[in-house]
Amino acid sequence: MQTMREPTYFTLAALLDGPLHGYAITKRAETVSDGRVRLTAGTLYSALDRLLGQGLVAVDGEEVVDGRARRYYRLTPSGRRALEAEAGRLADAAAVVVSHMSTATEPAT
Amino acid sequence: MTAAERAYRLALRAYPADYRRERGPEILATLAEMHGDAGRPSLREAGALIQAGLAERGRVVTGGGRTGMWAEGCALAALLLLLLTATGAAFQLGWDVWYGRLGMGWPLGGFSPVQLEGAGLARVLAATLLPWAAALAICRGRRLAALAVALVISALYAGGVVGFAGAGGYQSWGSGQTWLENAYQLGTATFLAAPAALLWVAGRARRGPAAHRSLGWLALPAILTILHLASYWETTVVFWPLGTILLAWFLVARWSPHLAVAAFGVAVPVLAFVLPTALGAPEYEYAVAVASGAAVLALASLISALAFGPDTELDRPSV
Repeated sequence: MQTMREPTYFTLAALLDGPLHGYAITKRAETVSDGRVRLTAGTLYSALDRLLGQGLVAVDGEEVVDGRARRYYRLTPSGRRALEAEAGRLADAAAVVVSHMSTATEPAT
Repeated sequence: MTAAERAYRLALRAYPADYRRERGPEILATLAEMHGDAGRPSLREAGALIQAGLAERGRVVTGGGRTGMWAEGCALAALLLLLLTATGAAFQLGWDVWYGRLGMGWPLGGFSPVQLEGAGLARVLAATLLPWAAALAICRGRRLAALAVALVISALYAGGVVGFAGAGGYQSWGSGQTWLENAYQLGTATFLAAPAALLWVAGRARRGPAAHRSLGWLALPAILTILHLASYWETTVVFWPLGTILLAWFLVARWSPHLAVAAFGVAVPVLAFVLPTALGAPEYEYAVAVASGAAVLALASLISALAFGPDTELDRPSV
């Protein structure tokens, strides 16, 4: 299975709590990643286009606020499964290192 | 409109027009919300837009797959070679008319004299006009028509060399010529046959309708003409703009890898064409420089195509 890149992962993670529009996704991704992931608009819409194409997210509605176009996106069931699978893979990968570090001896310097 | 919005609108031009129409207002609205009414544009945002836009263009042309990358890279190489031929032919024709004689206008100044009247004139006009027809067919996605015209171009040269030796004033290929003269004609034949070969490969690699290309490509001869005329003023002045174009080409190829394939497809026939001249007259610095450049370009583009192709997620970058 192809691993997910970090911006893709946090874009999906940002949508876990419900539909969001572009700007809200960037803010939410920054929050859930503890400020590590700061999505640019170019990266965000590349990710959204690909995720839409793969059916992992779907458009949830459109509106105009203060004269600005907004489109809302939501996680699809397959998007949720893909996110869970990736989270599991990352957790497994982290567990390997964490469990090994607790038993491994400090390397000689 | 703030300076930032103007800059972002300019950066959005990197995207295909259809995408811009569909997504542009939404992206601009998101940027406005992200950066408020900041007067100064964010270079990071503008750079990301350009990168994503160029990648989107590549994806639209290639369909986002490796097969598309090779097929459309070959088709683009054919288009560029045909436009090079058209430029060279037009120059040759202009030169000949100016000096009151008529020659076979062939790429990059390749030349075999023919008689002015009758079939000679028809062949010269055909050689000058046909590359345009083939290039236009590629831009309109009519690959088969382009292949047919490209084959006629190859046949014209082959017919000129083999069939009309002596009668039309052509130099004949074979005995009576030095190996270098034969190599020169073989190189020219390779150059002229390359578009047909590339289009055939493109058609075999990717069935179905070919991608349409911007008619803006047809402006390439005008750019080459300006560079060529500038070279009369100062020979080395050509290399800076050409170098810049090639550098930009490779930078963009990082996100649209079919450009690296196209560069390879152009560089090899150019090398075949120029190398005999460079070997035969080492003091002819221009030919030596072009041959060296083509060799470097071929090598670099092959490495790029192989490096970018199999391991890069072709559909969208940085995601």
